Amino acid sequence: MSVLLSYSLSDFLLFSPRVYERLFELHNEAMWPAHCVAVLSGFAIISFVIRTRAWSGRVVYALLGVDWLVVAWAFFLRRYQTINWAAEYVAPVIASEGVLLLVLAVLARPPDPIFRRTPAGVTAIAVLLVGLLGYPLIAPLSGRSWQSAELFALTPDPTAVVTLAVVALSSGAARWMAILIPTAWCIVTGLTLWALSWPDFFVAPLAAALALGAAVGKSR
Amino acid sequence: MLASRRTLLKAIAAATVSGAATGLAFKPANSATVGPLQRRIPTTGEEVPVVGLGSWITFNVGNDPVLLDECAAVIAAFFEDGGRMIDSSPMYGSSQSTIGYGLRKLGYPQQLFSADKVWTSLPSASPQQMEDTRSKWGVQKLDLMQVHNLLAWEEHLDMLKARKAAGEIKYIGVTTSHGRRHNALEQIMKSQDLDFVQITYNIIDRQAEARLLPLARERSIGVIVNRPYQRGDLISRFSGEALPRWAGEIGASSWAQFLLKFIIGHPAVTCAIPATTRVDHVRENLATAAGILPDEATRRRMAEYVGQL
Repeated sequence: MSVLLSYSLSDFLLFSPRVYERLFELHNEAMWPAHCVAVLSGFAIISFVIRTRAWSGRVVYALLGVDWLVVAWAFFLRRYQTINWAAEYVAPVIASEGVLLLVLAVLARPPDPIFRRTPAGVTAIAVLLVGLLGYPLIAPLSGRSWQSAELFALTPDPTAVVTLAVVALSSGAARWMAILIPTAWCIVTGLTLWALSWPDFFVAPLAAALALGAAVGKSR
Repeated sequence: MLASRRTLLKAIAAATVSGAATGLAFKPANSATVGPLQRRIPTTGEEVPVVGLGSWITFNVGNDPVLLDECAAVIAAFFEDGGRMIDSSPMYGSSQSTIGYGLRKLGYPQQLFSADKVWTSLPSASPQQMEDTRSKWGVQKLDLMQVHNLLAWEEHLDMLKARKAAGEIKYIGVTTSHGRRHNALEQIMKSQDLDFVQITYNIIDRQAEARLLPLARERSIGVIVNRPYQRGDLISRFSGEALPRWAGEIGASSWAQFLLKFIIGHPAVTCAIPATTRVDHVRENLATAAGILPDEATRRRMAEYVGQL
């Protein structure tokens, strides 16, 4: 245990900041034009959350489920694994979140994300907008290339943030099952970016904390 | 006390002569052109330049074609300036493949001294891992295989000894880093026949001076030094400070050179393996090993100076 405690966070980092930035650049290059589908998927989620229909919950959770599967395969297995051997082991966990969200989408009573003008609702929708619209701006605002921008449904951070926001807007006990993995990822990515000395390290953990707070607030 | 250049050269010559008995020696790479100083591997007498090339983090660039070419340029400059030993590990992400990419581009330079590691808690997995490692490097066989961070070291070391006896590898060793598990390493050094140990040693992390480095000389074990700059932190830490006025007398015109000279000035050190992504840095590292080295008194003075900062 004392040996373990002698390690610092940066000792676990396998790659340099430049390599991680380039990873997103290459990922965006390889995924194009999937970005168009990702953006449409994001706007569909906003639309279904704000203007609720009878099957909104099913559509939103199904979209999120597919997005997590895409991230597991395209980002973790095809991309991140090239610089981080642990990604191979994380990918199934990420994929399991996708499967879980798909299962929730087909439940007899799926979680139903609805935006209401309550403090919890406003907080959750703000987090949702950060995940969908704010995240692509973080890289250029932090001094990194815009080609390395992170987009919902293609990269894990905004996908996790949006998922937590949707869960926070949802009703039903089943929704809590979907919180664990996105929250864990937000913590992991925060620690990773901290070790890389990136100034935006706090965004995902803060968004997760706000979404969790909103989820708890909504359930009261 | 600072030795003059002449005194140091005499000391180097004396060390070369005495090194024949101890297995440790200083010798320029090439008497016609100034190359990096060479040290003998105690168990065989084979010489390697006292500065090598590490790959932790720096060569983990995945399949990025731009960064792969940058790393290949570093490897090319390393060989051009007389370097030989490149060290990696299965733990270092894509570093082994990056080295293989660079070697392939360069036509597999003959002077390569390949050093890698076994890194698995499952002894049964080590043969496949070693084959994967060899394949990624793209070489017929690896020169040195080490047990990474003493992980399952007893089982792995037995396997490495058998492979060495079969001629599949030339040298075997064990590694630690960050100054961890020195007691265990000391026991292994005392009880096992090793060609190399790899440890962290630099002007701040000097625990190895007390027992490990003297023991390495006593037991004729080569010493590879990792984290010579604490992954660049030492250079960042001292970059705002002035070098001592006498640094020029040992040929150190930068903190990188000052710090590296401290390490390779220790007679028990066979090879330090700084990692870098920059061609100018790899050239500077090798140039540092081409000049005069500090004697023991100067090394003490260097440590005292740094301790005051």
